[in-house]
Amino acid sequence: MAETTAELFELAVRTHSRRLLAIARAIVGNRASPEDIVQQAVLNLYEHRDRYDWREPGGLMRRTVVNEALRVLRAPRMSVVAEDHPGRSSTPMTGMMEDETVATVRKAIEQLPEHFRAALILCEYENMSYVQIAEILNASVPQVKTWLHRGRRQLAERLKGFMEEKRKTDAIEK
Amino acid sequence: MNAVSDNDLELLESYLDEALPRAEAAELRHRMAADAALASAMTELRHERALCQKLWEANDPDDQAADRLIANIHSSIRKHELRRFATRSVRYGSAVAACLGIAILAGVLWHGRTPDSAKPQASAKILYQVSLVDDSGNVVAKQSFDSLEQARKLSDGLNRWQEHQERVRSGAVTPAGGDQF
Repeated sequence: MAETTAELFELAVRTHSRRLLAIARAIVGNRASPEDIVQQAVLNLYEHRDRYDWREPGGLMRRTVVNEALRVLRAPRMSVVAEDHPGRSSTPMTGMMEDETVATVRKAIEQLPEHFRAALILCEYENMSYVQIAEILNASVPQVKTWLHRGRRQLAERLKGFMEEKRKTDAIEK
Repeated sequence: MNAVSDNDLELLESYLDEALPRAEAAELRHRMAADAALASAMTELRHERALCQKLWEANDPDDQAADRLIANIHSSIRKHELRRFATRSVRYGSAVAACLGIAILAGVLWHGRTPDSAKPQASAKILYQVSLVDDSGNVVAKQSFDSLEQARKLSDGLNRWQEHQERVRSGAVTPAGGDQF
């Protein structure tokens, strides 16, 4: 069983890296490199590793990655690093349809303000409670609820046309 | 979804987020059973979430990406450690050098003299000496010069004077009006 800080840190990196990368991807989209964000966040934690309790590092690591992603997004210079992230697609046809949906949703989410997007990702992807999200984003619970509500309304507005189109396609297929 | 108020939408979202207390959730379910617009809004919200879910799934990195990330993290940690070691070494080296410098300076000040190598070498400039010797061979005086030319000049002058004195003494030459050379 891992006991020292170094061993616990190593275990935390191995256990959480994948999830952290997904969070970073969802927050920064194509505007920065998610890998670089996770790497920098983990390095920041490593530098001050003795300050933290590494027995339950999930929340700490998520918080650090979210903050690093938001910091990078706020930086004045931003460039597109890739046209799209590698997604999973089964058959070419379903893959294409899924890719279209994913690309549309991604585009709509990327247009949301940073905090709305971060709150949405932590809530829907990470299934976090409002209290946990508030803690990570350094905000109050009502503020988080407002961000989530506004973010979802803006997202629905942006996806409205696509959803109607999809509904029609689905109805024809049935 | 226009028929549903903003407050109700927020309530529905909280319900889907499982953030409503049990009693409120039960009350909302009753209302949805009675209100078609509310139920329709809920269906719409679920549909929106299903769309987002596709993006979250697409964002999930594969094993290769995760392994690459972990390897990059290890590599950046190694680089960080190396940088830190180098910085620390330079810092310690500078501190040791500074201490040695201070110690030498303190030693010099304490003894009130500079080290031999640092001394201004006044004697080093005196490169040539001409010794004056009496008839018995004893050195009666020494004259130092910066250059060989100056030393030779004096030596030649002295030789000429000596020869002249010898000739006067032997009577070969009569002094006209004092010593000349």
